[in-house]
Amino acid sequence: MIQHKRWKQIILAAAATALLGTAAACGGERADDRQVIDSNGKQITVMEGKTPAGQDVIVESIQELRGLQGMDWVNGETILAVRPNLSRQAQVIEGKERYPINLLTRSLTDGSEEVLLSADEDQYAGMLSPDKKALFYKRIEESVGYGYMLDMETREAAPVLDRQTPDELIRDYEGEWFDSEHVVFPTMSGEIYAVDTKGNGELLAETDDLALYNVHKVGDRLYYIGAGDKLYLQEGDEPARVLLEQVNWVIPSPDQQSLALVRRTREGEMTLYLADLDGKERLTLSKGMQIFGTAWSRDGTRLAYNIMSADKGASGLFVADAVTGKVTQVAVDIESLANPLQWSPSGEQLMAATSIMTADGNERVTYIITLRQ
Amino acid sequence: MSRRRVSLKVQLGLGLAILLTLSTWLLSALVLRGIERQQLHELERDLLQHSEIANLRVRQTYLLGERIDDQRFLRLHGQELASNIGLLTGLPVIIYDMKGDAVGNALLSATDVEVGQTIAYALEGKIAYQSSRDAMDYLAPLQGAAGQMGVVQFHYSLVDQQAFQQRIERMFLMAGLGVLLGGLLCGTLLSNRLAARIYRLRDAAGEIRKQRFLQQAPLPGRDELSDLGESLYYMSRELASNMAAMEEEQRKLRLAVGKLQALERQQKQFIGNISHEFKTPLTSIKAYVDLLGMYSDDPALIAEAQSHIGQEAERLQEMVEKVLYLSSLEKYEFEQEAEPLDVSELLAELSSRMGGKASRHGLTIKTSLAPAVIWADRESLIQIFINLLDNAIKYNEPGGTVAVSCASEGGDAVIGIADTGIGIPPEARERIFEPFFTVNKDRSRQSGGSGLGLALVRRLVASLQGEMTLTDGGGPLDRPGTVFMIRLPLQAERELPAKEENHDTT
Repeated sequence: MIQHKRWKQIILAAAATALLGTAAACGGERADDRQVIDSNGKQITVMEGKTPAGQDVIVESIQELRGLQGMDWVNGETILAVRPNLSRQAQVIEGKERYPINLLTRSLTDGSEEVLLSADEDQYAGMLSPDKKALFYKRIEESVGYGYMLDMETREAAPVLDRQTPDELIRDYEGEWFDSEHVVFPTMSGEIYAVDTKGNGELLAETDDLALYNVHKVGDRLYYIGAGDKLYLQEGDEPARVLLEQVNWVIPSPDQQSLALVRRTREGEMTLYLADLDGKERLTLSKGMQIFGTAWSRDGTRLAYNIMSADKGASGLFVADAVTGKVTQVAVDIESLANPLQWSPSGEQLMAATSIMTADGNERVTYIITLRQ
Repeated sequence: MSRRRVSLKVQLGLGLAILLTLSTWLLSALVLRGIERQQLHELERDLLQHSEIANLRVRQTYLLGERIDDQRFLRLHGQELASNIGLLTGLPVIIYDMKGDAVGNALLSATDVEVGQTIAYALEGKIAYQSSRDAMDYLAPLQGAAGQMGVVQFHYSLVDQQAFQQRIERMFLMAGLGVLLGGLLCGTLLSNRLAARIYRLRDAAGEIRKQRFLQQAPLPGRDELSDLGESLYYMSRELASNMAAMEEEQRKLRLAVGKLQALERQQKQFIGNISHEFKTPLTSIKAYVDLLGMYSDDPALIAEAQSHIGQEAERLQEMVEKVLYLSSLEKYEFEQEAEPLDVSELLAELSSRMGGKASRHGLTIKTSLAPAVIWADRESLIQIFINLLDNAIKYNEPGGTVAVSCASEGGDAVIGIADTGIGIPPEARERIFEPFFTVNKDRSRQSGGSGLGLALVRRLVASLQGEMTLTDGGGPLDRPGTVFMIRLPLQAERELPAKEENHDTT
C-alpha cells in the first residue's frame, strides 16, 4: 500500500514537472497573424497583413542632377550649386584639364543655370542668408579657404576678414548664418568671428583650439566642438565650459529650443538624439556606424540625415519626425554626402549632394527628392 | 506483496539522479526553444528589413528613370536590381514580375528552389516564406507606383543557424552529463553522510530498545537530525530515570512486604506468647479454685489460695496493662507530651519510691546523680525507669545493690542502672528486648515478671530518640550483675522551638 502511494507520488511529481515545462515552453508563443502550411516536407509561413514598410513610401519622385553639387535653396524652384566653369581657362594638372569651380544658380523647372561670379577660382560652401540677399562662401584651395561675402543684388564680393594670413583660413563647410545679417565661423587658428553682410567683423572668442569646428550661435550661447570631441558652451562673457564629451555633431533646431546631437556611444556606434539646450537627452532617433549631413526642416518638425551602417542595406537617407521619433528610410545606397542635406523652403523637397563613380573618375551628382506630404 | 527493503542511500541517489536529469532536460529544452524562437524572430526581422530595402531600391531606381510601365521596368532593370539588392543585403536574390516569372537573379540558380506555391501568396501582396531543413526562402511583394509590381525573394541558408543549434545542443548534452555526474558524486557524498548520521540514530534507538541507555547525544551538530538525536537522548535519559525510580519503588515495596510478613509473624508469636503466658496464671488460679471447691473448709488452703490467686490475678492484670500500654504506644506516640525534665530529680524521686520494695528484697539503692535536663515525656521516662529499677530489684540477690547514676556526657544524658544480680547470658542479650522473653521462666514467675517490661522500655527509649545498651555488671562469676545504660539527648542539644521553655525551667 505504501509502495503504491509512493509510485503515485512519483507520477504526480513527474506530471507536474512536465506540465510546468510545457507551460513554460508555450508561454511565450505569440498570437501572430500567421498561417503555417505544411506541404511536401516544406513549411510555408504566410504573414497575414504584414507587408514591407516600403508600401507607405514617402518618396514622391527623385530628380537627379549630374555634374553639379547642390548647396542651398535660392527658392522653391532654384538651387545654389557649384560646377566646373567651362567658359574659363582650364588648368592642366597631372595631365588632366581642370576648370575652376564656380557658384551658380540652377532652375529645377527649366534647367537653366546662371554663374554668380565667373572667376578663375574655386568657390565653395555657398550659404545664403535667410533673406537670400547675401551669400557667404569660401575661395578654397585643397579643403580650406578665406571667407567672402557676395551681395546677390550687385554680385560684388568682399572678404569677411581684412587680414588673409593662414590664421584666417576657414575649413570648407564651417560657418552659418545666425540671422539675416550675420554669419558666425571659426578660423583655423581657433578664433570665432561674427561678421555682418557689410563685412564688419567681431571676434566672439579666442579658443586656441586648432581642431575647432561646428560653431553655432544660439542667442547669447555659443556652441562649438573642440579637440577631443568635446562640446563646449560659452554663455555670454563666461568662459567656455565642456557640455558633453564624445560629440561629433551638434545641430541646433531652427526654433533654437533644442539640439540634435550625434555622439559616439560605443566603439563603432554613433547615436543621433534630440536634447535640450543643455545637452540633456530627450529622444533617441537612430544609431549607426556614422551619422552625418543632419539637417533640420525649416519648420523644425523633421530631421534628415544619412546613416552609414556596417549592414550595408541599412545605410541610406533617413527622415525622422522630431516629435514622435518615428524614423523612415527614404533612400538607400547614397554612399557619402558632400555636404549637409538641405530642405527646400516648403519642406517638401530634400537636396542631397554626393558623387558617383564613373568611367573617368568621380562625378558630382545632386538628388532632389520630393517627399509625399 | 512483500516489501523489498530499499536502502536510504539508493533512494536518495535515485531521486537526485531523476531530479537532475529532469531539470537539465527541462532547462536545455527551454533554452534551445528560446534560441530557436529568437533566431527565427531575428531572421524575420532582418528579412523584413531587407525586403524594405529592396522596395526602396526598386522604387528609387524607378523614380530616377523614365516613367514606363512597371512590368516593363522590371523586365528591363530586374537583373540590375537583383544584383544591387544582393550586394546591399549580402543574400542571394531573385526578382519576379507579376506573372511569377524571374526577371532578375543574383547569386542563385533559379532551379535551386521550388517556390511555386509560396510565390502565389507573395503575388497576393503577402509576405510568405518557406523553410526546409537547411534553407529559408523569403518572398515579399515589391510595390510599384500603382500597387504591387512584383516579388522579391531572399534565399537564406540556415546551415549556420542549425550548426549553432547543434553546437548548443551538444554543449547542453555535455553540460548535462557533467552536471549529472558531478551532481551524483556530490549527492552520493552528501547522502552517504546523511545516511551515516541516520544510521547512527537508528543504532542509538536500537541500543535503547535493548535497554542500554545513551550516555550522550548520538549526533553532534546543529541540524534537524542532531535535534532528533538530542530528543532521543532526552527520551533515553527519561526512560532510564523512570526505570530506576520504578526499581526503587519495587525495592521499597519488597521491603515493605518483608516487613509486613515479619510483623505478621511477630504478631502471631506475640499472640501465641500472650495466650501461653495467660494460660499459666489462669491454670494456677483454676487449680486453686478447684481445690477450694473440694476443700472449702481448710483455712490454710484458703489462705494459700487467696495469696496465690491474688498474686496470679495481679500478674495477669499487670500483663494486661503492659500489653495495652505497649499497643497504645504504637498507636498513640503522638500523644506524648514532651517537656524539659531534669532526669536526676526524676531518678531521685523514683529511687526513693522504690526504696521500700528494695529493702523488702534486702537490697540497697545507691544513687549518683548529676543534673541533666532533657526534653521528654514524663510518663514515658517514669515507665522506663520504673521498669528498669523493678527488674534490677527483681533479678537481684539478697544483700545486693542497685546503683542508679545520671550524668551529662557529650551532649547526652547518660543514665545507668546497675544491679548485682545473676546477669544475662550474652546469647540472650539480643532477645531480651523481645516481648515475653525471659531468661529464666521460673525465676521470672517467682518474681512476677511478665517478659514485657524491657520490650516496653526499648520502644519508649527509641521514641525519645535515645539508645540503650546492656553490659555486664563486672561482679563475680555467679553474680555478675547487669548494667543498663541509656543515652538520651540533652535538651540544649535539641534544635527545638521549646528553648524558651527551657529558660523558664532553669
